[in-house]
Amino acid sequence: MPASPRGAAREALLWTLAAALLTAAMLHVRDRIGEAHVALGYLLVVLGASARGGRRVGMGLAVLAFLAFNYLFLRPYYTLEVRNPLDWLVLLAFLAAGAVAAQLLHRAQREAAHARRRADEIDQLATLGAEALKAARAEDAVVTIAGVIRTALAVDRCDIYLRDDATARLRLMARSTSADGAVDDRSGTSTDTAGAGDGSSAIGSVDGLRRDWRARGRRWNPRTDAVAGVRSTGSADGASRRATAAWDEARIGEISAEMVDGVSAPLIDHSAVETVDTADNRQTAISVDGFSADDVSIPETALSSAEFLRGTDSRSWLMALRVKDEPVGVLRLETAGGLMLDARQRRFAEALAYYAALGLERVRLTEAAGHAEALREADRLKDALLASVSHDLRTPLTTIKALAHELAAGGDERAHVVEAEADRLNRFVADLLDLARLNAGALPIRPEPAAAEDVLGAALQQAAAVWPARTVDASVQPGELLVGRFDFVHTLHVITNLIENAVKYSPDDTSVEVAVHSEAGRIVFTVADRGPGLAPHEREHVFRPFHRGDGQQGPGSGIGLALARRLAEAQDGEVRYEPRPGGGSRFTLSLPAIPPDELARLSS
Amino acid sequence: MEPDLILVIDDEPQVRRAVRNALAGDGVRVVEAATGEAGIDAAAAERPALVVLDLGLPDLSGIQVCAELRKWCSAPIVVLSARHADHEKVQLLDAGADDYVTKPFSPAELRARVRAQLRRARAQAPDGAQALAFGGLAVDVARRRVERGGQAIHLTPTEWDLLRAFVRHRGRTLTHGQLFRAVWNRSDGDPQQYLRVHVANLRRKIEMDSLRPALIVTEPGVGYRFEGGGA
Repeated sequence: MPASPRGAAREALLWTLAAALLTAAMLHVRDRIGEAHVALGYLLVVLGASARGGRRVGMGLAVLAFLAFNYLFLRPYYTLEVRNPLDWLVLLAFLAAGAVAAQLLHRAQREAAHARRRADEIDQLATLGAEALKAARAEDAVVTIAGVIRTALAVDRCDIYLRDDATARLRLMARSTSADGAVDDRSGTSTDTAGAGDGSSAIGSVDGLRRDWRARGRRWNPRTDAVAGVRSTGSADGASRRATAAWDEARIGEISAEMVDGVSAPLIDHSAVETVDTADNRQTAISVDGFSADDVSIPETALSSAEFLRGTDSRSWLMALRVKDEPVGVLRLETAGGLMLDARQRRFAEALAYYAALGLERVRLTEAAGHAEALREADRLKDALLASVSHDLRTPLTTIKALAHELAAGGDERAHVVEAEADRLNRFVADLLDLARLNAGALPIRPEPAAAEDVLGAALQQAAAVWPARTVDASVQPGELLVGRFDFVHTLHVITNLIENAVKYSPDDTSVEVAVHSEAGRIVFTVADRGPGLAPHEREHVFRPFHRGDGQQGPGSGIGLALARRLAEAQDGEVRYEPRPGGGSRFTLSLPAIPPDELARLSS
Repeated sequence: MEPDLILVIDDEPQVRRAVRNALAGDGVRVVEAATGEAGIDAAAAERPALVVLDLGLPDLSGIQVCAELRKWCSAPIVVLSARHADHEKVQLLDAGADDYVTKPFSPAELRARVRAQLRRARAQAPDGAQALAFGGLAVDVARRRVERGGQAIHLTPTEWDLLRAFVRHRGRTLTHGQLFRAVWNRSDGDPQQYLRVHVANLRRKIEMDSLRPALIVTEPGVGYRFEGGGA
């Protein structure tokens, strides 16, 4: 088929002229050639017209050629009378030749068009992909993508919102608007170069400051920005027109689906034009940050929906942007006349949206990376500070304890409190330092064969020194020596922290019970008290640093249990809480045991 | 009796003061030095009965001072060290120090340790000549016999070697390495890993309550100490 009606008319004129020239030439030698030669000549013209001009031109030429043949070359001359019925076969042959040639042409053209559209489509998506990667700053990429989507889908406005994990709010990352109507783009007239209608702006950013790209005179230009570096040759009409042409091609959706396979944009399979029940839109709207005056509200369903949704007004469409099934933001499209998307258009839009999702993910990752770097630096400073504090505290603490001792010798009972508090401060600093070193991976852990009763005995010895007033009952499973593989010093630290916790949270007149037994290839230490126990919601929280119990006012380092668990885990151990039958808490520390037979073999 | 002279080597005046006050009234005289060099000079000049040595000196490391003193001075050395310095403590004990006290220390603890070391130094008697009694435990080193309440206790060869090392160095903190060398007569090897297990087994045989040992005391991260100073 001809590319346009005008092209068809030109072809018809051309081939009619050719037929006329042929007629004149053959008329000149009419007596010397046979009718068959004449018919052959006309057949060639009909074939040519069909192949170049399409079926209608071919059919027209066929009829015209038959009339000329009949009138000028078939006896009696200059009549349209057909004496021999077989002569009708000539007309039939002309028509058949025309039809077949036109059909062949049509198929070739369709395949060419299809291939071109595929190329256009891939170019378009590649452009978006390149844009998403090329921009130096992640936010710039999102702005560019918004511009590409707006022109590619021929909408008036394209907004991209980032979902902020911390605040659970949407942040406007990019807004692309067109003043003179993107519909013009569909007709093939490029409006991008005029500079009047295209503007892409980033509004939200890392620091929350609004940046307006239009104010800085920056515009996305598909010719210079998007196409450069992606295509070295090809039509310079810009991505918008190629994309618009692609609207007509049903296979585009399939291509898009292949490209986004398993990653992102939700694919839908509606065959008709979208009809959304707008009842959903009465739901609560998500808070949106970073807006200028023309505020819009976005329903919460926009983040979770797998499909395009109508916006709160009839002119806008919303779609969740996802990466690995996690919503990262929302794409909002707006067109004055209302946007009608059929199934394949929506598939194309979703493929484009995938790149917007990737762009947002990049912003998110960039922000997270910056955050992590800041945290690492803070950790380093914290560790250095702790080490310094820990070291510098020892001398004054020694002095304090010495002074307290002198006061106690003078009969002042309060001195004992001073000494005990100095010790507590020292233990707290030691805990902090250990935790910091664990976090920095700088605490050496050396598991070695050791006897359970050795470490438990050392813990009892320390407890007796630190809390002489408290009774600590201890028991060991009778029978074989229990031997485990653990770091002696860190395990002792875990047990004394558990005992300290028990002492702190149980009445002074109750005893703390420690015990050790073997269980399924593990050495299990238990520290039990008759304190209030832990409410179910607190049972995991107590292992977090600086957790404090409900309404608790008393002293407490807040990291003793956190450190205990971390120290245990660092040597293949476990610290758990369980309510104690009859009231109170029971903490268990389990560590790998060395079986008696292996022990006998190795230590002999 | 002439008071024992104690040399305190520490760069922090407050700590020196704390040590002096802790030991005052014990019939001792205290000499102070602020640097390692000054401490070594003072030890040479004064011939102290005991040295209290801080680990964090500005000029010399504790190990250097300890090694230098041990060349010509047999007085007990008690080290003042920080927590998180188990490795340093072990090095110091291996270099010839006799005991350590962790900062911030309580004056009572320091005093007890210093007294024990002075007593031990004074009672340096030839080992192995006589049967020794520690609480209810009787140890006859020469005859390789151990009894409690008249009942003979059977020890494995390894346990006996351990006990002999403990008894010989009673009152001193022995590092894992020192004990290993005493028992296996070499400096490293796999059995070292099981030293703790042998000690635990020995305890079960000679202690009244192996969970609350009265004789073999654990020094976490460093080694063990045999509390037999009173024998």
